[in-house]
Amino acid sequence: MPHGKPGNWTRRRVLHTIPAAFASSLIPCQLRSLVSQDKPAAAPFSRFVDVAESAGLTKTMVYGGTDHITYIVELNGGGCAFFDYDNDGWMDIFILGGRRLEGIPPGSSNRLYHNNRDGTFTDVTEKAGLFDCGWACGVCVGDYNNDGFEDLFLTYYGQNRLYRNNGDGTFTDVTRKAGLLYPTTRFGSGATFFDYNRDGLLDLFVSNYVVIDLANAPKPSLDVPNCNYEGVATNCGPTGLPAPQHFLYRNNGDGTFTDVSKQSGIAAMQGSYGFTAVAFDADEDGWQDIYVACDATPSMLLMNNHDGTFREEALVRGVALGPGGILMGGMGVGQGDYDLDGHIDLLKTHFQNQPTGLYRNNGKAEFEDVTAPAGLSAERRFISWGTALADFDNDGYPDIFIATGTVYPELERVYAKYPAHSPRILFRNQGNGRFVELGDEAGPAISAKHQSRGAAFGDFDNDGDIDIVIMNRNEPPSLLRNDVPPGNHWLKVRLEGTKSNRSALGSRVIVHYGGKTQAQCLTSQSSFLSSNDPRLHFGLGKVTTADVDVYWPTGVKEIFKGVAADQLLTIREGQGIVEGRPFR
Amino acid sequence: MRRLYIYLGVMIATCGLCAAGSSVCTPPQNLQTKLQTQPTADSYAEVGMWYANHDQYGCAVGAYRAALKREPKSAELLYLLGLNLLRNRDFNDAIKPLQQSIELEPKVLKPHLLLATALEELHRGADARVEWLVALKIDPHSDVALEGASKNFLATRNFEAVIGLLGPQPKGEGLTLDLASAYQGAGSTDQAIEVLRKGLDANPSSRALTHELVANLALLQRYQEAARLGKKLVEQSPKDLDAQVLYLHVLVLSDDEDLARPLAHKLLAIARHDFGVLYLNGVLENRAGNFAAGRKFLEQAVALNPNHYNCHYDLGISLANLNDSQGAKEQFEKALALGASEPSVRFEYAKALRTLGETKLSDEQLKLYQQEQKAKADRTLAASKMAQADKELSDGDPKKAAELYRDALAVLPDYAMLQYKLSVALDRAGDTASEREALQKAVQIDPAMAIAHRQLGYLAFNSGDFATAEEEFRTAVRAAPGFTDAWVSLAATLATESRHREAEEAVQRALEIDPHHANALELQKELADGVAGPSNQ
Repeated sequence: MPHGKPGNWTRRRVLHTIPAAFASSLIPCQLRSLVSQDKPAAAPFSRFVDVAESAGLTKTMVYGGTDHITYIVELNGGGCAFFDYDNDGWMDIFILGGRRLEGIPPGSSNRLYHNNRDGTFTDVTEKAGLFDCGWACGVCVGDYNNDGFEDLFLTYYGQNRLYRNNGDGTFTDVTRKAGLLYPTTRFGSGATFFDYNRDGLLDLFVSNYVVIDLANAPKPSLDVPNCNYEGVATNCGPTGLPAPQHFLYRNNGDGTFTDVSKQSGIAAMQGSYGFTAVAFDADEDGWQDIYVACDATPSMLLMNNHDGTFREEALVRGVALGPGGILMGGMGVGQGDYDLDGHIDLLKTHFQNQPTGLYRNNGKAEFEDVTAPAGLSAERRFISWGTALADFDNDGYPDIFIATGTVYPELERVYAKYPAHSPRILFRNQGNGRFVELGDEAGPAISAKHQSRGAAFGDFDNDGDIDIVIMNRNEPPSLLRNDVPPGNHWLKVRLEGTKSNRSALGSRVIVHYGGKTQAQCLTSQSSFLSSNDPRLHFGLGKVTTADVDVYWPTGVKEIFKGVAADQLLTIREGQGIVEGRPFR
Repeated sequence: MRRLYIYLGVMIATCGLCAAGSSVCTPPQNLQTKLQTQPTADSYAEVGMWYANHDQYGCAVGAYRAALKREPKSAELLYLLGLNLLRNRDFNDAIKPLQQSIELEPKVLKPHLLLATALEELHRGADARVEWLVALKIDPHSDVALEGASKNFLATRNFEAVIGLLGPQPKGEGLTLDLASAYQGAGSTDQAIEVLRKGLDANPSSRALTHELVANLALLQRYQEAARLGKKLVEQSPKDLDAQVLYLHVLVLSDDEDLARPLAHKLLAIARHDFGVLYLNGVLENRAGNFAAGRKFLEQAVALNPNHYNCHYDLGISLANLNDSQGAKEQFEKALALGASEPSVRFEYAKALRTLGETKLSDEQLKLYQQEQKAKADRTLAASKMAQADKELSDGDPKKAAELYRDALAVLPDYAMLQYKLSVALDRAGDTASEREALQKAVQIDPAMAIAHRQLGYLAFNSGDFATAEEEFRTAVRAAPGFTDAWVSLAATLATESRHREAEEAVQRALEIDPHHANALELQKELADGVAGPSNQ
């Protein structure tokens, strides 16, 4: 009989639910108390101040419903980018926006802000030809035609767009001309320029999120699985929606691209809800691989076979899933060398109740999940998006920043546990493989609460540190100025390809300083659907000189010894250190 | 057993009796004198009642047997004999007098209830069901009969019958729990929650209903609601260990470690040997990275309940993280052998195998893991499409519903219920040919799918193919003997073929299951009047 003693029966039944229903019960987390015993190091850390308003980043980034979200297309929000579109040596800002289901409110559009070199920006969106009010999602930056000016590729729910930089402050939508139009609606998300076949031309990988047709899409409902959360009707998915195909386009060198998804094997790699795509040489074999953070499905690591094809090996290489084979809600990706062993590690942001994952690379693309020993497990309060492994205080150890924000604004009214706006997360690298979470001591901009998505990392004021621009849904962006503590040194490296692609995307740079070795790579997309300042920034601590090794994407290695700290180093492939763009 | 004691409790309470027991069959002096002077059936019955009132059921049985010698055709004495045999746990012996009592007075409720109870105790569920249903025919509002019948149906997983029997919101805690169980068993946990909520509105202090509601909310991953209610339950009953463990479980599921850890420690202090307390402490320690402590708790939990596969799994996690890959492997193997079906078990097993150098086996397990994940994803997608389709169907758009069912079938083609649901949508859309095709696929996948056979029979009947109709209806009732509608359809078909005797038998079967079935009653009447035909379905 189902009811013996009711208590025993229900307990027994519920006691069988833990692994099925609760992913993180399987996660070998660190003790929260243990984490709290980690005190911030005595040395002061950076403080972040949101200067968006005074800097002129004042336009609200309209994106879907504010209090209620009907469809999943409304919630992802967009990425953002630090890039120098006019080659003046100062990082400009591009932020993706959206619309509303019911229409396009005034002020909606993606935004290009020109850096006035005085701490302020000017909105040049319309002048630059970038005004557009669609469901924009991701951005990647790269000089696909090798003309010396960075171009933009944007993903959309709808039609993705390729904008060619005309070199005169304007852009032209060349999507059709480039052969990148498609006949049906796709939900583009991640995208990255990279040179998969080492021909010196930037090819393009595009991940898609879900298959959804708004005319027939399910709406929030308590009756439909995956259309509710904790008993509250919410937007549906991604689970329960079909997974899409991902695409690879080969650059033909004449301004056009050819869809090689099928030939490369990528078309067959279906079953994942793709988000951020990061191309880098994971196994250090000189060929570009691709890591794709995937939501609620296994993340993908596409290993380059050197013959135009890829094999998907995330599972066996340890970056597909969480502990216990749990499907994680993969959103953003940070890449960097947290343990200073010269190899590119991965950081992946996840859904709430799932910690941000840190995966240590042994240089052969064999990753170990070090989330727990690194002290990241206890922080799983919020849905996490834009992220980076970056050295904010220039002490020589990459730290972690995470932008957070809900996808269910409806929940806050019912449960305090799920706020509609949430703070930023900052972990300081303690130099021993462990991180400690910082709060107010890192400045008011860290504890400020928003519904954030993409974040881009770069030095907008050219003062030798890493600032952060963040896309906030239905708010103006945040611009977190990094007020770095004095005393530490730094080095920025800007690369220009000659045989390699002009943007030098895919290059790996190793800097040796004070007995430490740190690797970084130059990517077209990172964080959450965003693009970072292409000038690689290395904090050097107290050290004033460093050696620099550059691994160009075509396979050539160059070494530069005894480089002085506190400067922007411009290296042109095959020509050494050259005079670069203005810095200060 | 619960039913028996509840029922016997009811009887005792009705008689207003309570007594202390004695093992010697010695009635009080006045009754002894009465037996000597007036050795009638009434006197022996009076003595029997005295024994019963003093919990001397064996003695009562003897007294009633003596009474029956003097009045063998007394339905009441037979009933009282049966009652006391039951109280004395002589279930086998109780059957005959109760049956005899029923033969003499078939419309009296109580002997049916006792006979059903005795039959349940003897694990003769099918026979018991007949008695429960007859009892309900006599008194459709009898709580004991309703609960007996619903539990009988629940035991055979005939959830639809329970839902039909108990209606939208039965009275009383027990019946509410049964209805919730039926909805839960039928896969409608949300309906179960509704029933429990309404039950709690009517009976706010019911711990059993609250308990059940917390469990159902947790199963639906509505952890915040479950935790809120669980907390209330614990506050209401601070000494109820079950309630505290349930609350702890919800806190563990909802990742509220700040609340879970102190409660887990507190429960450990007061219930060190409770399986649930040990298990949840083990899970929490594992989650906190204290694998040695986790192992300690989980080893104790496994010793208490060696058949709990998740406990083996979590113990395996402890061991794997303590670098005991061989031990972990063994625990994962035990979990799998016990029926663990979560892909995570296979995933961790594969990892342990890889660590031990068993690469080939590890690869095989990883492949199985991927297959299981794929199957799970397919099921999820299909469930989502199916739920959307259900909604479209209830909103009156069968064509859109059919499209969505087909989308679901594209990922889960071998799901018989989906084929059946598609057939329903097609039926409403008027596409009979496609409906038949969907039904045929459904029964190909699940030959015992009674509702599909019944609908195929209906289609055959409508097209005048009575032989096929009869065959399908017979298949339906063979697969589900409690399927009233199928019996009625069979009866109607047989009546149409002028096989009235067989038709009457079929109607009788339907009415045994559901004495109030309107179509069956109507058909029975028409058969009696000699006017039964196809329209009576």
